[in-house]
Amino acid sequence: MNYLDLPKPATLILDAGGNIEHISSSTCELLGYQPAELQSLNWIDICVPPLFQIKTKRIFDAVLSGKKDLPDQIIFPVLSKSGDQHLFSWHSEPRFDASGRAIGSITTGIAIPEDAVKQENSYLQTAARNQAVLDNAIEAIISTNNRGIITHANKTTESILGYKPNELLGKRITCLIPMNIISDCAREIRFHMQSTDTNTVINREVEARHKDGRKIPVELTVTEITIGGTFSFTGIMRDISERKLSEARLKKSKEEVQQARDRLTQMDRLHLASEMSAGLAHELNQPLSAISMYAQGCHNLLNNSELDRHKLSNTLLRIDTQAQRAGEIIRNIRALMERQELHHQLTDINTLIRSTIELAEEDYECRAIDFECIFSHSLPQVEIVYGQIQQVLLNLIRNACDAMIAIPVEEKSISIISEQYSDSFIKVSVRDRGSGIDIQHRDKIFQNFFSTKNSGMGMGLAISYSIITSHGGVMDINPEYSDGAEFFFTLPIMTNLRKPSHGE
Amino acid sequence: MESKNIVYIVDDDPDVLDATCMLLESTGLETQRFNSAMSFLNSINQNSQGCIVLDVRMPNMSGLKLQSEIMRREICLPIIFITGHGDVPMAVEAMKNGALEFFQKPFRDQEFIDCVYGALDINQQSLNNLNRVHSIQRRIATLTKREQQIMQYMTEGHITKVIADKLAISPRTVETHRARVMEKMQAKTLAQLIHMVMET
Repeated sequence: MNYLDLPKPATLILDAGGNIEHISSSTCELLGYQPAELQSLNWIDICVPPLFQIKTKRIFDAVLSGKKDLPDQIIFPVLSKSGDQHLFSWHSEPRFDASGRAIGSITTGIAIPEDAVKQENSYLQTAARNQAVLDNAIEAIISTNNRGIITHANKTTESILGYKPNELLGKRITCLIPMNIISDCAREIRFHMQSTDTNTVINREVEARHKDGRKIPVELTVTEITIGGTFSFTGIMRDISERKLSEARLKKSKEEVQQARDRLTQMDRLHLASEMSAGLAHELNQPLSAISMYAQGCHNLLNNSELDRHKLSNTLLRIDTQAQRAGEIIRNIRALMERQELHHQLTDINTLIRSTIELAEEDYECRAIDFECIFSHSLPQVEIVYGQIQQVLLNLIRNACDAMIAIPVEEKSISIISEQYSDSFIKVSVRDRGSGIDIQHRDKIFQNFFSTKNSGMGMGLAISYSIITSHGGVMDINPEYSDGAEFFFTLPIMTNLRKPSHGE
Repeated sequence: MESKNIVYIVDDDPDVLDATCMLLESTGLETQRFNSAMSFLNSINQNSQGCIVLDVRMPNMSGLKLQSEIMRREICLPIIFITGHGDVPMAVEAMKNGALEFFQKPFRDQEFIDCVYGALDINQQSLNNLNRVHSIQRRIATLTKREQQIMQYMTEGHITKVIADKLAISPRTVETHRARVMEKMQAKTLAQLIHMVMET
């Protein structure tokens, strides 16, 4: 900008209070005053627009106190008698008396002609490029003047808030952002203007109003911008409804998974499922091995030529102690199982299946597997112990995963089918694409400690079987399915709520 | 010699530890019991003889960790593992690292006892081998530099004349050295001598 080359300098001599001691006649003329009219009046109160008074006063005081790092030029408008604003570029020097005390300032100003701002239009190309950038931004970018009137809006505004950019020009910003938030921002900006010279940036999450009245959560950034001495504000709004939604969904699903986990943890504890039964096996193994070794030791003692009766009797007592220890472990588990509360609740089986799949997908092995749900949607509710049935289903899913361990990822698939089985039963089937079940194992598969897995305890299916039986249902494999294994269980629609006995 | 063979048993379960010791002692073996890996490491050294029975699952230092620590300290006792539950990868690792056997509880006591005796035999044998190697090394140390040179050529299969040429001395002198080598090494035949040198 080359407006500094332009003539019409204004000269002011102010006293320490900012009162006018002298003002050049051309300045008076420009502002529409007679020179005598302004004499001794306070320059800042009379000629500086209210919005700039605080800032101007601060700069004036800084000049008088001899502050070094002030900007050479300060651009702000002055008010004419008729209320028009004229833009000036100001420079002030302090005046001192003989003792070195600051007694006022000499201030010179150069008027910036109206067309200086227009000259910027010569940078149309830049502007066009800037516009393109603005329009392609993923945020709505809206500028207002210092009275809150919208002076510019980019194209994205339409996709977020429903208004075409042209519709918004001249409207108040309050049609987009609630009044209380605007005044909040304005207060904060004013506060910053008083305390710092730097541009203020305000950032907060608010709800903007869509043209159709909906509330859109947005992240609002407000910056104060000074162009050619005129303050304006630019608000940048980023649509965060997706983020909000997924945050909420994530929170909800995390809670649900956690709840389900809690229930299952409980079930695991009660039903001695895989890991626990391994731990239990270890616990029981200890006294059993000790007994076995003591017994063999006694046998050896008896075969020795000299019988050490004392040692023999001592060892027999230890065998007894170990047997008691094993008994104690069993008793503890019984006690644990009896604490179990069986709460039957009316359940939509499809909901249970879906939540169990989510739970299964938490497991690393199941993550890569494609789940196919074939649901009958008109099924009546069943009255079941939710966690137990979930445990059964999870167990079948895990078995299915294990059965497909050796096949390529893209072929891994588990189908879960819910259907009406008869008038009084519903049926849930789990199919995998694994190697299937050897027909000779069919009778043994639900028995305790039968397992074809290297690391299995053979407890999972046995427990599942007893849970289904206690619910009055049946569990079996479908021998006709040949693409893998199909396990199914049925549940009665009208459950006769008899108390199942524990440890069945 | 036999009486020095001790079965070192490390198990954190005092009952199982006691039963294992009782079982082995009932067959006339001498045992030493330790309830942790640390207490075991503190009392064993490279001169210890016998074998080690380790529980896989122990707090602080597992049996597998203890095994590698034993190897790091160059304690060459055979190790027999006992585990509470079948853990195939663990067993594979233990065997790879040179464990003699891996027993899963509850095991057949007689098999275990046999294995312990086998371990003691292996230890005795390697001890004998070690002693033999030491005595050969002592004999080699009594040779003069020239005799060691000549022994080197002899074991490489050179005849007296070739050795004499190589060393620029007379065949007679070589013959004298050869006789001294055979005498000092207590070897009756050249084959025996070669065998001894190979062993060191």
